[in-house]
Amino acid sequence: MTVEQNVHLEDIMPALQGVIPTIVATASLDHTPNVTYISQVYFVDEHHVALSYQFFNKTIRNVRENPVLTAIITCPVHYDLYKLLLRYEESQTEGEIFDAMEIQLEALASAQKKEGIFKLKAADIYRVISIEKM
Amino acid sequence: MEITDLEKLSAKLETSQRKMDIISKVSFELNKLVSLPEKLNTILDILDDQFNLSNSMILVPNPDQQRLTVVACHGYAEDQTGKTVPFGQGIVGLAAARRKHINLTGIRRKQHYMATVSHEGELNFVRPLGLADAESQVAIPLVANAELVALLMAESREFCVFSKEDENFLITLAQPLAVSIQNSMLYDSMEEKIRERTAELQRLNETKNKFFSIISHDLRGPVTSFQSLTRLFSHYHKLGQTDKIDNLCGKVDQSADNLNHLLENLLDWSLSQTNGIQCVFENIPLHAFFQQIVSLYKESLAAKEITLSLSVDESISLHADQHTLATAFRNLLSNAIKFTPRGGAIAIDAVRDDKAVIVRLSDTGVGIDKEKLCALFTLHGQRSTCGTEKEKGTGLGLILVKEFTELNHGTLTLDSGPGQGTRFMLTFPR
Repeated sequence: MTVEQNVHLEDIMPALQGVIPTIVATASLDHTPNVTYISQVYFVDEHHVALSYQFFNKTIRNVRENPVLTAIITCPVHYDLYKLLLRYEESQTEGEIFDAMEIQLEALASAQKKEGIFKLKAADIYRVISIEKM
Repeated sequence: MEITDLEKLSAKLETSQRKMDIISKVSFELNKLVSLPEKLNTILDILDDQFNLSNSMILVPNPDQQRLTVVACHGYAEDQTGKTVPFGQGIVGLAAARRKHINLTGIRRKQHYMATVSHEGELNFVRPLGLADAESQVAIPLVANAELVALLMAESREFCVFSKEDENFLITLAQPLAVSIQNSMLYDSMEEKIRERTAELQRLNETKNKFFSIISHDLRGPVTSFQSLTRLFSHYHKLGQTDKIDNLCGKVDQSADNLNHLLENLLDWSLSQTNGIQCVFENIPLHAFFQQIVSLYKESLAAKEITLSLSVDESISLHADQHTLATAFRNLLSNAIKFTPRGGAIAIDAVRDDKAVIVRLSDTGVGIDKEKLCALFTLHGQRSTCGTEKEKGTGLGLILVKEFTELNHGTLTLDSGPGQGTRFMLTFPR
């Protein structure tokens, strides 16, 4: 992992709690870019993060074709911006990470009596290639 | 080592020290011998003081594991104690149902997002307890011996209040908390059992005392009476006064009847106290049943010139145990005769509807005052009251009536007042 300005994933934990939506940029095989917002980037370990795969959208399709993704996350405490360069590794449909992400989604949904509507298809695991404070 | 690294290390050390302090304080509280709610409230105070958990609560699952009830809370304007949430609903219900900790922040934005993508424009938040506008929530299930003992929930209107580190620390704290709560619950349930056992022992002691009181007092009377009658027999025999001996025979017969009635009640009562009565339920036609009961008291009714009216349709029957039902009504009728003055009236009638058979027995007797009504069906302070013509009893009759009515799945009510007679109403399910 290339760490710029000595930024570690553990140091930017508040930015990974999903208070402020994350901007993600992907590109298809023919290099057509796509920029969108996602709700949260989840911390997995010091070298990995996870993104929820709920709907098969353009971001997911692009990542499956071209596994590199850029995410801009915002620290809700100091409003610092961080650019994360990520590489897609795998999709997990069970296990600790998947369960933790799924239970959060279900907790939010059940508080609105919408249990079961927001199904988590998978937890997409990304390796962190670099973190850059913007 | 750079200064920033030293600062980080120092901060980490400080945090660890603070956590050790919290663990030490919480452990001290957990070991105190105080009631569970008191213990839990103190723990929530410590967590706020040391950990800034300004709004927190502890919930315990109901025995059916369908809902959680708040047993302690801290920092809320409105007391949350007693509020419930179903398993599976919201962060609290879901953490309990899955037995997994949940840490959420940015709750309102995420819920708005959900409402938008589900195309249901309006939000329909379900917040049965806690802060209505919480932005951060953490729920930690407290599990001991593979059993969900309780759930710790903390929340805030601020974002990112509970870091991953905080969450992990709360999980560490959850284990001793769970064990302590489980121990306290066991302790409380044992205390409850001891209270129940003590009450049962007191009841048995009262029963024993009553038993000895009846044997020493109530049985002694008829036996003494027999002794006197025997002496009189001998005396009149020596004098050759056979007409007087004939008179005495009637008294002997009556005395024997009373003694027999008393012994039957005593036996039934002692069997009921030791759960020794085996009910055999059968269909009992009530008209014939009451005719048989009334025939037993023909002479007593005639002796006091009491008229008895029986109004029970021949088609009415009751699914009950013959022996206990007969004992109950024998006692009710003898009681009515005992307390109805010469020339009075007693009425028995029965009606039925779709659900129940109702039997009413009323008399024009002396009635019962309010003070005695309260103690009528208990042994406590119960003494037999003499009838209008000094008839004696054991004080067990009405206790048996109530117990045997209940053995037949019935209920008993009565209405009475001094000088207004007494009306008993027994309701049995069909």
